[in-house]
Amino acid sequence: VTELLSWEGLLALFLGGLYGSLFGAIPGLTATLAVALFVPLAFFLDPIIALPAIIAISSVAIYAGDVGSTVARIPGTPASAAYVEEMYELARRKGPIYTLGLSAMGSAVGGVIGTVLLIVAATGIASIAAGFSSFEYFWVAVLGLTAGVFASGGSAIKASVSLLLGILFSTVGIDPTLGYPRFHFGSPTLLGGLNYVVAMIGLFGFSEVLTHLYRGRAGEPREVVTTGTRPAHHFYVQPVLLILRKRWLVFRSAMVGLFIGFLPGAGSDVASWVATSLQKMRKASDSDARDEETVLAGASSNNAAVASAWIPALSLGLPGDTVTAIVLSIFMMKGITPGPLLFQNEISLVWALYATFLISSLVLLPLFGFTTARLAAYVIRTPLNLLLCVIAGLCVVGAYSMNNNPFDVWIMAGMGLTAFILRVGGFPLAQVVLGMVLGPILEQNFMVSAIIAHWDLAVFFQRPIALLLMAATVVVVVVGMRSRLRFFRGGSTSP
Amino acid sequence: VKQLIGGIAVILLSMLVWFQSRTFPQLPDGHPGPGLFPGVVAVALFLCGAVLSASALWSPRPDRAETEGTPAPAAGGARIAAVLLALVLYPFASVAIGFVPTISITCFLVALLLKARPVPGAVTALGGTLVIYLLFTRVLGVPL
Repeated sequence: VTELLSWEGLLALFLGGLYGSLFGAIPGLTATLAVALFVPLAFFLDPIIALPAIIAISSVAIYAGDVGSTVARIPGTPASAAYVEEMYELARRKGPIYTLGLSAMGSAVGGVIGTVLLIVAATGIASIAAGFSSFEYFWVAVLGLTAGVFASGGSAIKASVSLLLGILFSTVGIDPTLGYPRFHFGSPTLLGGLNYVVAMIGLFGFSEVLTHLYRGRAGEPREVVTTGTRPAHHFYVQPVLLILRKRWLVFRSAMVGLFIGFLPGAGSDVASWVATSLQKMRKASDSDARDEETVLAGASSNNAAVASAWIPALSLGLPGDTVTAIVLSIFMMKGITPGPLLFQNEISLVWALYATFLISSLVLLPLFGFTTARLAAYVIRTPLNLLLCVIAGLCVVGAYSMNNNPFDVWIMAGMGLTAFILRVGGFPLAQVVLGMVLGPILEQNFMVSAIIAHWDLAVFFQRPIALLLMAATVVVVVVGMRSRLRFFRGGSTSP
Repeated sequence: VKQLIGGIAVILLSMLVWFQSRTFPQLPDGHPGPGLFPGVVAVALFLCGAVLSASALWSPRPDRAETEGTPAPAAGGARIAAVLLALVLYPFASVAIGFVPTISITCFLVALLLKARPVPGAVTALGGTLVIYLLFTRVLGVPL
């Protein structure tokens, strides 16, 4: 920890946070890509400097994914896509600095809760994660998808169509279980499947450009609330006061993030979707309160998941998400073996990681969060037609940069057109991304489980944790149906 | 009408997926193979499409404005087609005239179609492209 708090260590954390904030804020550049590009440098650094820098990159990049949502309704990361509409609308009503403050402070609190649990219960929790088989993962995916249908707020049937489209998109390419190519239409690029970051750029970013092109009204000024002369008050004080009032919501969402995050392969993307979907199903007094609560749920859950994804990585050597998978490879290169022995042999490294999580949540997120929020407040005032022309360029470059393949630009454009048609028809877009994220988890774990059980599907209902998850799914359906009935009785016509 | 068209489109898509998924092989022991999941998705899509169509036919009230889309002039479709065409040509133009000019021209086209004045549009398109290019290649080290 002393080494971490040296000037080299603090500089690495600061630069890591800056680098992560840039990557997260730009559509198409993910936390995973930021970490992957940092790997060559990490090999030459002391692990006590390199690994904390990676944590700083991923923590800040996950938060910075909300900047694009606020400015232009383009989520920077799949985790941010879960509450992109709420971020965008809230920024228009209450200003971008307040909205990003809510996200940053929620992320910070979620990160601290995740870190505390990482410190006190890493090995114990890892043993629970180790008890998860394909049956339990299947039910986690079912729970996430079910919550996603009822979370849409609009028509449940239209949300189901969006969700099914997303699942359908996820089936393009090589079948994850049996290795059979599907829906590739002879294209070698499609054999690898549809990259959901490219799809997300098209679905949210490019469709926004197409919508304004169709209307031809982008030259009109936008109404955006400005935050006046006290940006720090709007960024820090107001969100913290709200978090104190909504402490149970934040704690509950962080716990959902922790639970999903420590499951190997799930990570912050799935955590954010489940937490926001569950939150959206709850009754809110007005649209401001609903959007604020959803943003808080998403932000606190995804950063709690960033910390908890390290629990199986450190305790069992199993990656919780793609970032920890990259870090485990660095461990191996450095001759460090993750697992229970890590806590005996490399205890200084483990404590340095814990300290980094706390520094990231308590210092880096508020610091870079405020800087990016100030920047977003200027960008959001740019005339919309000029902003959209740059967004169009960013969509093309962001999609192309994923694989340096022009085909991805066409995929992005196709997704943008699909999203535009869905928007015109009143179908929600976020559920498409949810389907793309959870579809492969659902299919792979169903097929693996069914093959293991020799197609005796009763086994899906026999394991205790699986039964618990199934019961949670039933509760979600009942609560979702009740809230729909309430809408009906209240005179709403959008079941 | 919009909901009816949407429902019929979903039904047609589900049928396409269903027939395509039937061409995938089964497992050697006769159990479902790679076609199972797309097949289930197709059936679910068909049911959703049927419910959407039926509710559109039986519901006397017009669609509520659940969408952001509003009736637009036919020119809206032409503007979208122009930008999509530019993106179809992007890989070829990028090889022929280079990355920065291609993206700048695409951005400028979008600006003009969104009724920006030519000079601010050109400056924003070129400036934005250069910033994006330098940010990706020089600052973040992402190859383009």
